[in-house]
Amino acid sequence: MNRVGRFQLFAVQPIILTLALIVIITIAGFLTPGFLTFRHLKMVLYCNTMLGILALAQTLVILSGGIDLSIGSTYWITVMLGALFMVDGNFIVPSIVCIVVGATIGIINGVGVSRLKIPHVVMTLAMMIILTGTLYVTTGGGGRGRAAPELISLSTGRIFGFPIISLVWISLTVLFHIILKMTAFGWKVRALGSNLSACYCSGISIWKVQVLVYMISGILAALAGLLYLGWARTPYPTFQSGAGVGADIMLQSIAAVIIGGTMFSGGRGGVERTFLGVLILAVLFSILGMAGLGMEWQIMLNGVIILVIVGVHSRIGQQ
Amino acid sequence: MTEIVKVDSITKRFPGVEVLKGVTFSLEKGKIYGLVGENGAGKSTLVKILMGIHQPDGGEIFIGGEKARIKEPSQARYTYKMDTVFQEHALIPQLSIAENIFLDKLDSFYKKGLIDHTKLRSHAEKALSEVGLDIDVTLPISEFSEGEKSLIELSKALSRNPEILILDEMTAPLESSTVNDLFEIMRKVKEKGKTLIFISHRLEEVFKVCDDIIVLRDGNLEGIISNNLKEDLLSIRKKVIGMMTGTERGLSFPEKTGLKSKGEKVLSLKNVKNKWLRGVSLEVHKGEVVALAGLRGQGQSELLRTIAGLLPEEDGDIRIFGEKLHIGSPKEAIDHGIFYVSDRRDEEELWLTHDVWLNISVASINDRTRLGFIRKNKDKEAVEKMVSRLRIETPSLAQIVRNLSGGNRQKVVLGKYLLARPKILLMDQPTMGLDVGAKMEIYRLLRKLSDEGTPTLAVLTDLEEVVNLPDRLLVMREGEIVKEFSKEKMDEEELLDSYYG
Amino acid sequence: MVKGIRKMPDSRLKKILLDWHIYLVLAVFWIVSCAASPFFRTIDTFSTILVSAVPIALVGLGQTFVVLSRGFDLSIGAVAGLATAVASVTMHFGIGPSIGLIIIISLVIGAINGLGVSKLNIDSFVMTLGMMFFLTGVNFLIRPSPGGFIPGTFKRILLYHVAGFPLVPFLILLLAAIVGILVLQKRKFGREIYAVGGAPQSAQMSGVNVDRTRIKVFAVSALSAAMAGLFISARIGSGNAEAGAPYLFDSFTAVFMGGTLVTGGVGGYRGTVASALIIASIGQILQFLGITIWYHFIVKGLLLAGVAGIQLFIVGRRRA
Repeated sequence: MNRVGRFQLFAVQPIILTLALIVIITIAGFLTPGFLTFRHLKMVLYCNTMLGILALAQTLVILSGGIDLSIGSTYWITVMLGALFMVDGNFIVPSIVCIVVGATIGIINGVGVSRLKIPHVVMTLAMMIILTGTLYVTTGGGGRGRAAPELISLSTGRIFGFPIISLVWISLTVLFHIILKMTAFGWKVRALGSNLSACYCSGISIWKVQVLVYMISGILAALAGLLYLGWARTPYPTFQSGAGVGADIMLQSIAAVIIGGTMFSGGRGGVERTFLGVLILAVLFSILGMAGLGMEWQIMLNGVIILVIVGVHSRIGQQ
Repeated sequence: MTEIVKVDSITKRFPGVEVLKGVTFSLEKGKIYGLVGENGAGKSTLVKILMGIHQPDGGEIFIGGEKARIKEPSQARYTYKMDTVFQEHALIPQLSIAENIFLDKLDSFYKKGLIDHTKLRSHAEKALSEVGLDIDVTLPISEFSEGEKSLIELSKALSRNPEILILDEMTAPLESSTVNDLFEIMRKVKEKGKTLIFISHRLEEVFKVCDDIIVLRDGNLEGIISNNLKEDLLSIRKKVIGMMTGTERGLSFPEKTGLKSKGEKVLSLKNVKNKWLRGVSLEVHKGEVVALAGLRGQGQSELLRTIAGLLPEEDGDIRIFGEKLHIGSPKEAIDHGIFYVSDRRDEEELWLTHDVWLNISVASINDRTRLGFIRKNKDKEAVEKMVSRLRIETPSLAQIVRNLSGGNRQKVVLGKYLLARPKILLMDQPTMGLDVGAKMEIYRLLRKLSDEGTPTLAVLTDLEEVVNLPDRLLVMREGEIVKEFSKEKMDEEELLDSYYG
Repeated sequence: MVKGIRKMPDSRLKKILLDWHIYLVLAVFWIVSCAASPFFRTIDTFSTILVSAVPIALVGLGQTFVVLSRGFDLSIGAVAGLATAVASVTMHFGIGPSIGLIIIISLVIGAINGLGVSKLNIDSFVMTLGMMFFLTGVNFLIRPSPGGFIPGTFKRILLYHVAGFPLVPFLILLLAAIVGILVLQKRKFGREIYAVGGAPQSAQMSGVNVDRTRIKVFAVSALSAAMAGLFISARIGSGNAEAGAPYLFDSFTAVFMGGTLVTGGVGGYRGTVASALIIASIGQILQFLGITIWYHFIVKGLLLAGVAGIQLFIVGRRRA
């Protein structure tokens, strides 16, 4: 397939996805009553905010040519740490500590990748394994503490009927869209994902960008963790037996990015696409839930859906 | 005389451009054909169609009198006995040379179900000796020069004993002596009754070895000129160039203004040493275009890359405007105004998946930001000015660079660096792969920049360029500068002499 | 030929180090562990290590092939779990047919993965991710909770010990090592894998059928994961949908620690086997030192990062 055509289709992809989303929601609305209500759609948005924020972070990392496999475990560590520190009802200080921890994890990832030249996959995989161990060791499988009341009200609160955390997600998406399109940093991120050597030869400071990208990823993961804590009130992570804490949500964040159309190489794509990706996954999952299918079917069909959507993308791209 | 290949009304379009507009010709057995034309004339596309990499939109191909449907390279190679040695080699660095040569036939070397490496090695050595290479086949590909890799590719093709052999810009990375060896090989192949197609930008080579010359221009066949010795070389050459460019002209070079006046010293090296350089000293002044010449792989690229911070210097003195520097990375070099333009455009200079705007702007984007935000208007203006100054042919700033031709890509790279206001340009083969028109524009540009205060130190390999473009010429051999020339009229023989010592 | 400047031929030494450095790490690990704890020095310990290493080495085999070809197989954990589930449900009809069925199923799964990656151009990460989700669901449908029947004969054969030494597991490990190393070094398929992973376009141009190679690679990966699953089912004596899950990241750890580069084209199975042994040893030594079992994650992670650093030192830090 000629390359010019493929790029045109790439540009138009978000429109295709939006249309697909509308179609799916409409069909679902006909098949299952109550789906098309504002209330239900808001709930879908709400439940997937955490995934949305993580996918947003992942988009940034993937655009820069990397990948963050530790994002799920950073998320859960924040949940645990936050609960632990907020046990006396403090809010501000523990929150700041959590964000700082997230940022530190990100910085370590960034330094490992840029200064020590450890491949992205290996570094963040190692980090995920270490964080998993740390989590198990410090909590022994069960969480202690609880969320501060301010956090709870933040996570469950609404403005004009619209959930606050969803607004946070949407604002962050807008913010990062602007950053990627209109700041020097954003351009450098995309250049990095396209050709690292060219960045090096052209004098762009690669390590600064990489460290910053992973730091942002860590901060966003921590933020998502805090918001989750406020919603769940007590930390009770679903430990995936032995596979690594947060592995499931990490994989889903990557799936959302890919479905949205951002590519692993080339530095092309965007956070708005990932937003659509999360919504599509969320809506489809929600449909399955409403259809009354058991958990296994949902997980199974989740997989099929990912493959179908991505397969269609590629097929269109190939004509 | 039997006809072996017939190309009939072949057309091919890519989005926005018709690359081949109904090309028809036939080739006879036992002849060497030259295929010439400017960049974008359609030579590469034609070859790729013959090799099954592209499918024509119209027309037919006949091989040996029968209609041929070539869907993929292995079909071209094994069914139609047609093979090509491309300019970009298809060698796998992670495999040994022997494995590379016989990669698609490794199973014919099985002994008791496992590859017999001894047999593989001896067959590989034999294949390599056919192209005059005597090298250790167990060494990985990365150990060898571009010229040797080119020859290995040739041995790959020859090992399959093709009836039709196409050489696409094979001579670009080779030494002059190796080129002559190559011509010998080509003649031997021709004597066996095979047909060769030789594609090159270097017309002297084409005239030396080809029987007939096929000229393409803008997707059309301009004509086939017989290269017999009845007409003198100059007139044939003029005719060919005329057909290629649509005008009757040769390469023209701007005046060597740097010979008469040179300004302050910009760059000076004293006894720079490292793994590849044996004590290099030189100076570049404002107003000069200085060239590094000599045979390939004698340290010219390494010298530029050392100054640029890509390779480490172990000893010696590098100064810019008198200030001593220790350059550890390209960023440091750039901060001091030393800009290196690599010969590996696609790998080291361009962001192929992004548009012209980003490619030109991102390296120096900090100059056009306020509080981290890009000042869109200022940026756009600057990039547009650069595009028009360099006459980059692109439908818009949003055009993805991958879709641009080689010449325009090179201009984009130059645009990127010029926007960052260099104090000195280090260029590694600036006109490689560019057509005549683009080459001349680059020459004019380099001269103009130099007059305006930004000198150039360039690695040049094309003899015509080396003789006509630079004010001063530094010949390198085995990591050091062995001779310096500084003449209005350079003598080619004297020059070549100094290459060999 | 005119002499040109050539890079130092120290790449041979580098290649040897890259191939074997992990065995040095293994030896050091074992020596230090023996010194640190008397319990470690027993035959029993090494026997347990060997047995624990088998499934890791098996999933590592497939994953090595995949990573070498420049891909990722995230579905191997689910495939292993599937194998245990199917075994627990079908083995009472006959061990042979059951194994046959599992082999066929795994090859089909692998082929589907391969087709998605090659013909549909889906990134291997995503393709195998989707497959993993799909199979996890399927596993729970077949085996909602651990159980089922694994015949005693099957268990006894696979775990056959002789004078305290795990003979059959050792043979399985040996067989895997021989097959893995020989195929990669001395079969056309193996060399094609390096070509596809190292320089896919050049491989294509040189006549390698890249698509077919990729399909075969993923089929091998699924098959080896299924074999790992069968071994696991013999060890735990039942079917468990999630039995394979921990082995997913262990397979990557084994592959990367073993010297196979994530970019493809470089490395091999030699290192993976040694890494499997190291990973299997970590649990043991921690147990004997009285350190909670959870710490082994931390050790694994640090080891992975550390060995990656060593590799980069050997290979030479890539510019940018």
